[in-house]
Amino acid sequence: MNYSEDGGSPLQNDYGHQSSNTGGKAANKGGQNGNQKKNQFMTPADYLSREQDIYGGDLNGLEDMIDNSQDEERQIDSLNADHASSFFSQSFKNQLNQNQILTGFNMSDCTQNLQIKQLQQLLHNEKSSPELLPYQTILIDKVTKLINNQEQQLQAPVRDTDDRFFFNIHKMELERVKYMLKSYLRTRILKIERQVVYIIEKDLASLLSDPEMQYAWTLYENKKNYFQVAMFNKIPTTLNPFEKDQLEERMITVPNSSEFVFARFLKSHDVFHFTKDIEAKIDKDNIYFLPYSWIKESLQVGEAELV
Amino acid sequence: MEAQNAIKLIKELKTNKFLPKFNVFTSVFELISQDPLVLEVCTEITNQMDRINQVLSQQQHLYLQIAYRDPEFDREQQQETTKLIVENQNMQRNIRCLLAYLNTRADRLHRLAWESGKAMPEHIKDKLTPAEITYYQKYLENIDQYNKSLSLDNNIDLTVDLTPPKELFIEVRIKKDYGTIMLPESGQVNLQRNTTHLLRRSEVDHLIKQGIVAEVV
Repeated sequence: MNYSEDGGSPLQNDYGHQSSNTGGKAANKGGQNGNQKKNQFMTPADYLSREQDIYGGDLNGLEDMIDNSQDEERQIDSLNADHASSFFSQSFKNQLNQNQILTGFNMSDCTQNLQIKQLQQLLHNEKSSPELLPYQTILIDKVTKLINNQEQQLQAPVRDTDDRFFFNIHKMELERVKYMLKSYLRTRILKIERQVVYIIEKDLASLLSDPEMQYAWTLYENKKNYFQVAMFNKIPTTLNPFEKDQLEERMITVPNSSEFVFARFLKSHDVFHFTKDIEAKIDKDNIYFLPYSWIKESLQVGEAELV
Repeated sequence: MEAQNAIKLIKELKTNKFLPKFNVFTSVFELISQDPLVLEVCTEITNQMDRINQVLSQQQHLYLQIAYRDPEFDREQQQETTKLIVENQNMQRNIRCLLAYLNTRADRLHRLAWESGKAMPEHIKDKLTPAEITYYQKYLENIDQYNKSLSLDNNIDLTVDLTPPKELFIEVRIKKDYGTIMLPESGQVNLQRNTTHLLRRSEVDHLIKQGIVAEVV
């Protein structure tokens, strides 16, 4: 964390490296030495606080981290866990803000964790549903901004091995989030490709983002041209189904909405009507194996999720 | 025999994991602009269409009777009609098969585009028709454009990281001499054949796709 203050002699950096990077014992020692120590050396906890941007634990009402000496491994393990919060004292948090390590980032507004979780869920839903789900403009925008923010933070120069160690962990986490985002967008592109005729003919533009719609149109035109060159130039024009105003129904591949999916309900219902005739009792958090069309509406209002 | 060629095409697709080759006999010709089987099916379709048109133009009244479902159809005319219907369905089926064939090929091209990126392997290029190569390039352009619209100030590239990242660095072995290159984070790297390097995954991703380096597992 101490990019700004640590810029002393290389000797000092070396020393810092030894004291805080020799496993659990040293980390404990560093912890006991308290706040003054932190002015000079980076401990895992310091770095974890930067991780908060990604995982965004709640930093309010924290206990004094220093007394809760725990070994380094557990500190890293606890990235996601609730007790991660116990590593950060209020004074420590203030210090972080003062040092402006987290430039432009509001520590009290830690909703990132939620957004990453949402992204995860979104990815799962998109991957397992046979139909294209609506594009989540707001969430994706937010996540993109977060990633940008983080990338900027990672631009900070890396000074010593300590720094590099944490830097790598941080970067890895960022890569994971980026992978999720990319995977989401890719899954959508894949689906759009599969259903491009359906999307264009049935005008499903509301489900797609603008760039995606652009993509779908270009793809459609390209395909048309390709078919034209490859076969329709050689047969009578009247036989070309693309020349007609409306494609015949049988030419359009409709996504199979009765495909079976695994779904978890987030709400329990005493009586849940799947269709007009079929009803059942639904328990919260149980996983059901159902046709997609049965839970389509619950999925849209967020009462169910796909697994 | 009618419709046999179309079936042949579909079967070719089924037996090949990737794009099927051209017919051996015809690939001897120097200028191939089209898969010969596809051409044959096209000719077949055209012939069928011609025949249908011929029958229809000869017997205009027949056409009308079909349209109005005239109850006073005599047997001979019924035969003619049946012939027409069979012919028509045969033709539609041919078109359908051809479209399915071309579409599946296009889908496999998409997969190729994601897997190998801009550098199409030479041995695959031989299997493609010019129309397909144009399509492939246009497809890449389209992905590129989409990519750009996503990330104006963000380096999100959809074509890298097709598998979840497990490590930040990966060990790669160089398969071809590629000279010295500058990588944004690792700095100068001399890519000499049969050497191994520990490099950042995102940096060498495109090199892996080009087949210059391979990951050591």
